Amino acid sequence: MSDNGSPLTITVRIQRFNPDVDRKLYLQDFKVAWQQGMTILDALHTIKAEQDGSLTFRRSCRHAICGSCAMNVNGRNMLVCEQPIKAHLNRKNEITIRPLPYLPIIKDLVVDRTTFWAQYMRVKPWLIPPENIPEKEFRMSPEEVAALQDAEHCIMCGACYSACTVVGTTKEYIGPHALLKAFLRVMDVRDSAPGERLADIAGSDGVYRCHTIFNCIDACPKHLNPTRAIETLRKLAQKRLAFEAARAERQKHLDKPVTSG
Amino acid sequence: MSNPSVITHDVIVVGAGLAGTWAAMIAGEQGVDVGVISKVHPLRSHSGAAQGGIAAALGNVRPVPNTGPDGPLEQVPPDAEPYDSWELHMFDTIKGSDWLGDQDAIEIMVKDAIEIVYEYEHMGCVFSRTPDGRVAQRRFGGHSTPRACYSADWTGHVLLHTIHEQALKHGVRFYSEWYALDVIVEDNVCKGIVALDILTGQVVLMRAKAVMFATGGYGRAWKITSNALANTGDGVAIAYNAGVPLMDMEFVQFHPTGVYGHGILLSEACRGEGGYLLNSKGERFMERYAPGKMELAPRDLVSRSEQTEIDEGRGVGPDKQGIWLDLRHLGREKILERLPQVREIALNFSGVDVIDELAPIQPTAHYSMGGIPATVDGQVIADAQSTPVVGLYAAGECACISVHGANRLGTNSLLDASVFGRRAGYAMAAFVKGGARLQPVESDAVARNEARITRLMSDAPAGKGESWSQIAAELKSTMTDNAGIFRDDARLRQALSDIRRLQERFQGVRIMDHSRRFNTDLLGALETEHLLTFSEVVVVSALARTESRGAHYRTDYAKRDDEHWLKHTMAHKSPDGPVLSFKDVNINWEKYPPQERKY
Amino acid sequence: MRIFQMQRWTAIALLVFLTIHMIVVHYPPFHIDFSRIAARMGDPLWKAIDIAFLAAVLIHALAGTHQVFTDFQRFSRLHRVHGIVMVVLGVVAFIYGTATILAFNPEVAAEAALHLP
Repeated sequence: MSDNGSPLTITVRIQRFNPDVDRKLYLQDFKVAWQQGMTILDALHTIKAEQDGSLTFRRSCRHAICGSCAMNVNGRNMLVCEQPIKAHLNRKNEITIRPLPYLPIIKDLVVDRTTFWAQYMRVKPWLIPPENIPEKEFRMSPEEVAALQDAEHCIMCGACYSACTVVGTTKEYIGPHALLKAFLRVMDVRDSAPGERLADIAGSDGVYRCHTIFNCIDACPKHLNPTRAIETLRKLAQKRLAFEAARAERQKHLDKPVTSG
Repeated sequence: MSNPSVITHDVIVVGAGLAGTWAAMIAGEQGVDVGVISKVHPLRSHSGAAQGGIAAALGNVRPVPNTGPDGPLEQVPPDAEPYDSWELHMFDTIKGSDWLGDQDAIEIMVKDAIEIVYEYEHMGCVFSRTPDGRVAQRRFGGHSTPRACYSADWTGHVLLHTIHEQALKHGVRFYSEWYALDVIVEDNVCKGIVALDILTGQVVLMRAKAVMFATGGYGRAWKITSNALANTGDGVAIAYNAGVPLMDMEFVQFHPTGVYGHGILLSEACRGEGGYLLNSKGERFMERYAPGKMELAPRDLVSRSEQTEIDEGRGVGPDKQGIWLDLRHLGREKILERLPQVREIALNFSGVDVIDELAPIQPTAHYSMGGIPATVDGQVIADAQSTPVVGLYAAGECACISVHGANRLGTNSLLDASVFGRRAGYAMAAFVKGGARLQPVESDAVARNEARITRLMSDAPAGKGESWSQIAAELKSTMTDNAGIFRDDARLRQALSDIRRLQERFQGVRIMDHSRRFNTDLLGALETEHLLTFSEVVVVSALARTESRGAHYRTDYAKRDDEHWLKHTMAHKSPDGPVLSFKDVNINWEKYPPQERKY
Repeated sequence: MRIFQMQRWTAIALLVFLTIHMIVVHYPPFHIDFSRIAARMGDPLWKAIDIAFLAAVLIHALAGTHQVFTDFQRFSRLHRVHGIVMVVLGVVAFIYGTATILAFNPEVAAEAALHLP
């Protein structure tokens, strides 16, 4: 029911493409009856169950933590599971859903994230710990942890990556998601290789390829700020040796209580 | 794009959540060749949705002295008496399990807990901290001390990403978006699996010396559930079909705080941090059910209390099926710092800001205590005498080891998956290095599964085929109504006849998508078949257990019956449906004899 | 990293040069006539400023062009060639511009101005 009580029918316009069968992308319209609380993902499920079982999309957790269902809705990247469909309708009650841009299409709304994961691997996402591991935990202050929390919350959905115009022109660019991961490791006082990491991402495909367009911030469903992370990495790369030395000094005290406040 | 028709690894792990990835990482580290298949990309696994924490008796935090057990928390001073111990953790877990948990396994889990949290920390996991830099801990339901180590309310996410990174570091090969169709077990020896490469639609035989199942829970058989859409219990159904028994399947935990109408989880940390539950009259009704622990009683008890309030007409929301969660008194700062994700979820799905509004919630199917029976090393067993199924391992939610017994405590699931995933990894590496061989496969499993797919894609004999989504919806409906929080003989019989009818109807199911490439319609149908398979086992087991214990509550047998039912249910497949046998519970009668469970 | 740094440093320099340029050439706070312009253009200090301005503009513009060009993966084989072309273009333009600036002689210019129609 719409606000005035009459049933609301939504037109969901979806970009379809199965490379085995279709020669061209095309848009297909589906009509869906709106229900209270309906998300965009709910509408896709309704269409798949009742109208066209071949409609293909990824989804899993339904609450914006798994990162499967990033799509392009009315020109913007978002996780469709957490978006009420009503907020995205135009005056004719239409909504247009396309797969994430700049990536090869596997089928309908499913894209090939191969380059996305390759760039993730390239920044060595794992921690490189110091040689001396304490018996208990490394001591980190709440402030040192707070500096990481933003980057740690990235769910690798690809919304930023596929909103980045630089990624649109070159897949050799590391990309905002992987640079945010690199930022997480560089900033972590437990990581013993920040210098190497900074050297690795300071090449022409790394932080200096970013044009500071801010699309990644706009697209991020978790409200993270990859651009700021990239900007910080640029600055740190300029004073790499000093940063490395400071880290080595900090790591001498990783087994001792911190003073915080 | 095409794969070889046979893929071989020393070890194949099915499922890439915490348990599977731990096992793969350890086996990889030990120099064994590992392949991991997962129906979703590994980082999409549902372990990442866990919010509240991972339990370990680190003893970093205690209530401020002289404020009582519920007082404000502070870090334990370096020279103070320890406030927590693995023994306490063990007792809490046993009591939470309503004495159905195997105590030898629980002992291993709570002892390993301490080590595993430090190991996570050393691998780069970003835990929240105490002021002096130790891992911070918070209270959780059923735990007698603040024991949950956490990373705001993103704990599962952080652990999953950390362990996945480590597996990549150790060169584990991931087959992302591959779906397990079958496991080949002949004469109690596991020889490999049959899998579907979702991208190409190709059915592939995967041979291995050891196969491990870490496929997660089976909450998708209920209408309101916190589980991801992927949690369709494929692993348990496949194992059951291959002749492996399923243990304690009747025990399904309902979490007290699912988002009203959606079932999406609002972490127990809401209550751990001090949230209240209110009925339509604004009463903190837990006073009546668990005056000692109030909202922090274990989940089974809180969910039943909520359902009782709802059934007696004190529910909230348009159809009076909800309860209020009140976090307002925690204050903006604490909510933003400790429960940011909870706030976001309530905003998106209920349209309320928990900082100054009540959030409507309802019990939601959450965790499967039952599953594939396994030893503390993840070795799958074939019967009540613990005869091993050689080369087959299981850990995590799909396994029943059984540490959670009849009811799991919050924060013990991330722990269970990590501890026993790791142990299974070591066990498989030792098994492979100890001279295990690839077994010749004579089965027609590939052809059988090809036929399964061909049938679903073929044209219906007459008219239109049945739709799998319709069948799944009807199944969820009957499971919720008849095999939910409150059960009785008549309702369970109703559920059983519904399931058998739906199983018959499934033979008429046809899918609309006839292409091989990334066919999610096909997956939906296969998953529905698996739902029907294990749901029957759940109901048959629940019907047999004429007592109430933990999460299994029979209104017609409302008391726990240790004399007859202090034992695990094991369901074996037969042409006439599940056949039950029973396995003794491992109990240390001197230290932890069964007691009345009161909170 | 070097190109990026060049971009940033020349950007700052351009801010200064452009401010001077706009004030002096386009919006002078004083009356403007031929002799003043000729005197300025003949002043060795101003010649140095103009050469530096020219260098900053060329570096900034060509480096920027090169950055944008290298954004395109499909031209990746041509990146080196493009870089060389940009350097050559820059050097030629710098020599040509510098020669023009240095060649200005106020007396010759004043003489020539007398013969204007």
